[in-house]
Amino acid sequence: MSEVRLPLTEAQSGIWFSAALDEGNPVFNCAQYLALTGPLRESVFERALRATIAEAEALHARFGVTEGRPWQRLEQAPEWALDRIRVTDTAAALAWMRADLAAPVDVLEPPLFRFALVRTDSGETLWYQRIHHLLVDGYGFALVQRRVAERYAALLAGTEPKPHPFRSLHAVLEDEARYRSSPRYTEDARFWRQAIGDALPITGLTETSARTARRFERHSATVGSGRRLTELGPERGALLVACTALYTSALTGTREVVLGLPMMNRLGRSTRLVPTTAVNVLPLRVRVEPGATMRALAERVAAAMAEVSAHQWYRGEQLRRDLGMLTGRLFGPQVNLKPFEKSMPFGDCTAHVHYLAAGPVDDLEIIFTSGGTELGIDIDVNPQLYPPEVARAHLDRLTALIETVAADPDRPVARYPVLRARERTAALAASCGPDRVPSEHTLLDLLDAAAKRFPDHIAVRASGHECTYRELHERAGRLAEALAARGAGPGTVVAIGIPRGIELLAGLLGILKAGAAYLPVEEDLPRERVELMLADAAPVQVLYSAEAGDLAVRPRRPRPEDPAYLLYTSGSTGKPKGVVVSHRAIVHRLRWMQERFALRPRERVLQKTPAGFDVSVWEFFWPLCQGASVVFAEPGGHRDPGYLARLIAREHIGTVHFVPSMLRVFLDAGPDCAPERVICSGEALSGSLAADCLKVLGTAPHNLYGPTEAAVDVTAWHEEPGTARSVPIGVPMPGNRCYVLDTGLRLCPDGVPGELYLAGAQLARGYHDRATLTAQRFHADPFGVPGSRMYRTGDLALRRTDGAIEYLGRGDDQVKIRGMRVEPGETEAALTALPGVATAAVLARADRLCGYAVPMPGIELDGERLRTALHATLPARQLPDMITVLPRFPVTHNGKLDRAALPDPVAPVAGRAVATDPAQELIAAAFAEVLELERVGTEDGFFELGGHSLHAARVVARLRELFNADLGIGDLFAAPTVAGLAERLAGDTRNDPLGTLFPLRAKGNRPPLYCVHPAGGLGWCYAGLLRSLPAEQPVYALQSRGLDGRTPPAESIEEMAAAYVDAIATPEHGRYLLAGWSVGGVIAHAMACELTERGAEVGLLAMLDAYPSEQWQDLPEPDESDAARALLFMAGTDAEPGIDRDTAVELLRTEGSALATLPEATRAAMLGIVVNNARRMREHRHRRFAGDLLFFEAGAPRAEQWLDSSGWLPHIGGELRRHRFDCTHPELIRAENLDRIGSAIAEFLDT
Amino acid sequence: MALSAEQLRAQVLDTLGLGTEEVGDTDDLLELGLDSIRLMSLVERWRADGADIGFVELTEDPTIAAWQRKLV
Repeated sequence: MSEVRLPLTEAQSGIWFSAALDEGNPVFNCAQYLALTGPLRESVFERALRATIAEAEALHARFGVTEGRPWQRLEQAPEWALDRIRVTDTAAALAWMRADLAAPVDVLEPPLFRFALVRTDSGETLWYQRIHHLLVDGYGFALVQRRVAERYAALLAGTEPKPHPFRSLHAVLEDEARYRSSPRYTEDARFWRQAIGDALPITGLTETSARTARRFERHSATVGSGRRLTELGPERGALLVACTALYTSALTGTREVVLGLPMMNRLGRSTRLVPTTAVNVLPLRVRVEPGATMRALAERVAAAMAEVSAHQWYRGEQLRRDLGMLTGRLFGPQVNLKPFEKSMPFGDCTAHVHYLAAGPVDDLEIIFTSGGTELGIDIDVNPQLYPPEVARAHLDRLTALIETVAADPDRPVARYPVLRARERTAALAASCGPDRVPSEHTLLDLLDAAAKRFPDHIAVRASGHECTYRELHERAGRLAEALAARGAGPGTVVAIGIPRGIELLAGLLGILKAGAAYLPVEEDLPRERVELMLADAAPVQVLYSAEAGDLAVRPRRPRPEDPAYLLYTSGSTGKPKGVVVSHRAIVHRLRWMQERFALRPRERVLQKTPAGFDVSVWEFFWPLCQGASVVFAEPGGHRDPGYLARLIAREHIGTVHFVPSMLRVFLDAGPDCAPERVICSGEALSGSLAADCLKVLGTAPHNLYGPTEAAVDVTAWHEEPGTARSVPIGVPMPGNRCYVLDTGLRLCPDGVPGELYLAGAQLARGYHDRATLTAQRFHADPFGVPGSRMYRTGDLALRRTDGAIEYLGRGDDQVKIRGMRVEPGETEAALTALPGVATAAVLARADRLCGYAVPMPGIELDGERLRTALHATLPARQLPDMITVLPRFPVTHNGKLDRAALPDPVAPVAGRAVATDPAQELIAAAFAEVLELERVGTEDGFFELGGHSLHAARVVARLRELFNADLGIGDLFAAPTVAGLAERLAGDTRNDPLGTLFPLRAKGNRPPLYCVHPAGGLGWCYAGLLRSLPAEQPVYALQSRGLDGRTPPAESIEEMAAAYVDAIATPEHGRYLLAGWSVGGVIAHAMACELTERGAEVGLLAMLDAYPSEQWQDLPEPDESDAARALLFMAGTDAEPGIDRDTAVELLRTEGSALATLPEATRAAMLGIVVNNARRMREHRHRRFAGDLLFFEAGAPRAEQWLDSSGWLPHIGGELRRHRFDCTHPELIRAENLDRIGSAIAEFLDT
Repeated sequence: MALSAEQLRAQVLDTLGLGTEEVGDTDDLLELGLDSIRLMSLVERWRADGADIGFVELTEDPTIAAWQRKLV
């Protein structure tokens, strides 16, 4: 034993770092117990144990911390007792052990272990061992246990045990040092970067990210087919991991699975003999191909595991740092194959090993323990992430899967069911709409019936003309006879190229009466396309008018299975295909519509959708089956929102359809009409568009979904728009089935994305004259009766637990850009959400991600600025390479966004300034890493790139480390570019980040804006304004006295106001611009009054959700808990009431807040400042400020409902201009809101 | 347990996927790439055949020679 302080080993460092963030967390205890059967001689046992512990030098470490760095010293073991515990039975013994495990351990106070002999009344003896993870892992436990057994046996036999069984901790440190300086280290680093670099992001079994819990929960099962598993021999381990991979793949909907594999990491001869902790969890990447057999998958897994094993000395913690992943998943579920035997000889007894705890469980860990023919499976979970029933469900499913695989490992992987039987039944039930027997009526039957009932109702109105049902049917009847004379009949096709109007409807009806199917060929289609369609469909006639002519033959009526219409769709690959839809299918769809909406006779439906798009089918015929009227928009009029709005109003139209892109255009035009129902289909419907529709038109849109191949629509959804990004497509209509299937064509569990397949009464017959293609897209339905079919949509979707299906985009949408998987949909959603953007699109072109945006009316957008703004919300690989702003989007014939017509983007301006020396390079790299950008130019402003105060703290911390310089946040604010910081590091001028007047941006030729601190006293939160204020606008923060922890804070608001005015007043005055959030607003008001009294001009008084003292007076004064919460508010974190100071400080640290970089004295002082400010605010009496007040209100509902900005009216002489934000008080200073506030301030100042 | 020295060597080589010439009797098998999972399967096989041997024991001295001494 020596007095020398040693560093921690790499494994210990990793554990130390986690444990230090959460002092006292007992989850870092490891524990096992040995159940000893036989006559244990206790005194002999104790001698053996004490001698072993004395030999295991590494267990006697005393840990300490100096200047933030941990060390250990191997000392004489302190006194420790072998506790003797007496309990009634095993259950009581386990309870005692678990209670001991749950007690927090102070890692600075040795011994970090405890041993006990627990005896039960029923005669069992359990040897309990609890040792902190800093000292041992599973292998370490085994070493100690074996040695105790060896010594015990020797003592009994009177022999000498083998000497020097253990090596010293020094050996481990030496092995590590040797490895780090060896070429193997570099190779391993490169191996890992390649292995995992492009697998990010990694999916786990739960969406939420892992946080270290204080305990874990275990669920256990035994697999019955143990014998069969043994027969699998040495491949069994790989097979179990393969099962886990398949399970994870099925439950996450991904083919590439990354599991966590704990490696013993004891390759060095010495390390194998040291009772210490060495275990290293590394990612194991497995690709699950549905067609391969399980055995083949297991072989691939075995090869992958061997590779991981060959590189296991590289620490997982280091890999995280290499990948720049301080948080986020490195792997999904962890899988542990425990090799340590369950029983061992112990003198003349036998000992059975039981594992109680192996350290923290951040997410989910599957542990396989085998002993002979028995296979035990434990699933350990972080209870914060997995409620017991979810964990249990995972265990049950995995156990069932393994049993199935053990019985038959040669099936293709897709053929193993992953869900339990009752889950499959439930998923299938959720996939099916209510039962509905298809009608035996044809569309013609329904139309004829309506004509008979309502002969004098108006059937059609177009451009001021109208005709009755009787007239329409008579005309159509004559046409039908003429068509029949020319060979039209059931099973034939008649093409029709009549423009929108009464004649078109007469023509369509005439074709149906002839028993034929109609094929629309509109005049504005390209010539070539029309020729292709006609050549393919081979119609018996092409109608350009509804005039009958002379010939007449009695037509035949169609049967339900006969085609009613033929519509051509273009696929993603070239040649258009004709979808044939039967009468039965379309009648099924129309029946649903009438049941759902109960269209009354004489109601009016707008017909504006081009006839080649199947939405037109219900626009034409649904009203005509109910005695209602079809009102035509004039040809071409469907693109003119003003015209449409006037038409809807004038004609009293109750029902109108929009494709979401067109709805956006329509709403933006400010329509003055109020249709009763708006129906959307054809594209994804965003929550914000739905909300706008409600706001502008007074009705929320119905969202429908369905391909042409399934008779227009098969799902529907309607709800009050909430906060959802995207409105679900809904639940299957009666008689329809919507399956969400994984790549193995198995039903996906709720919440897991898969591909959407449709089945049921509305499926089209197929593609005209394309038997192969039809067979490719229309499969056999494995869930329906024999002979039934299902259609593969190619759309991705998931089913929510409430049964609603969410549309996730096209399956072929996920692209790879620069080798990384990218979802254009995510970027599109983020771009659409930016202020000023009406609609956006993102697509991949030539290995680049191209963004397009259309501005809202009256707004100017700049592509570069939009791109910069996206830095705040998107990870680097999801950023578009460039954004092109267009006045409007090109749309297809059908009104959908025409992606192919989007222009090729112009190459971005070349060359951001490149780093010219190593210092600049390092700083640029630090910026890029923290902001998650690929490249940062030396002149790019940190805040313009999207950085905010949290990022600032991280960058400063890195730079401090990198340059060993005493750099502060003030330096970053003062010189927020790479070049500027590099210069600063060379020089030595600095700003005191806690000073009263703190420059956020010192340069600029406009009058400066002074922002007064909120309750905590710091003004850094205003940094987010820099981006949206003009570059020539300087911004300063006014900060509280007392932040250094030494000066007492001010005694009143007036005192603060006076002090701050003194700090900013200049002899020539000029215009003063003031702003403040929370109490800062109150102080700013007082300053405004003070400045006016001194004869100065106040050009701006802006408040961010600040309220006059009268409204606070009745509330009790805050205590320290409130103060702590307030501190967290300022850091941008919401916290529960009653949170204690320590937890609050803890949260600040772990949330990475800028505040965490402050010295402890300042943080403590801030609590006092918060309390003081709250008290002063209540005591304050407002003077009157003669000018205007610009007020930014946090409008989300809050407990203090009486807070009202109007309370300022008595205290101001000018106008109260309010801007309302739909967010909470702490959210008001978030980047996206500060952007808008900054813009509003800039606008105000310019008028 | 009726395991001969030759059989043991053969099983180890087979698990490693290496040939006789490539593995000496005193070569460290873990450094040659024998990972804990494959080692575990060997242990289980030998224990199933009646051997009284532990995983940790084998990792202490992971050479064919040492294992032959302990098991044969």
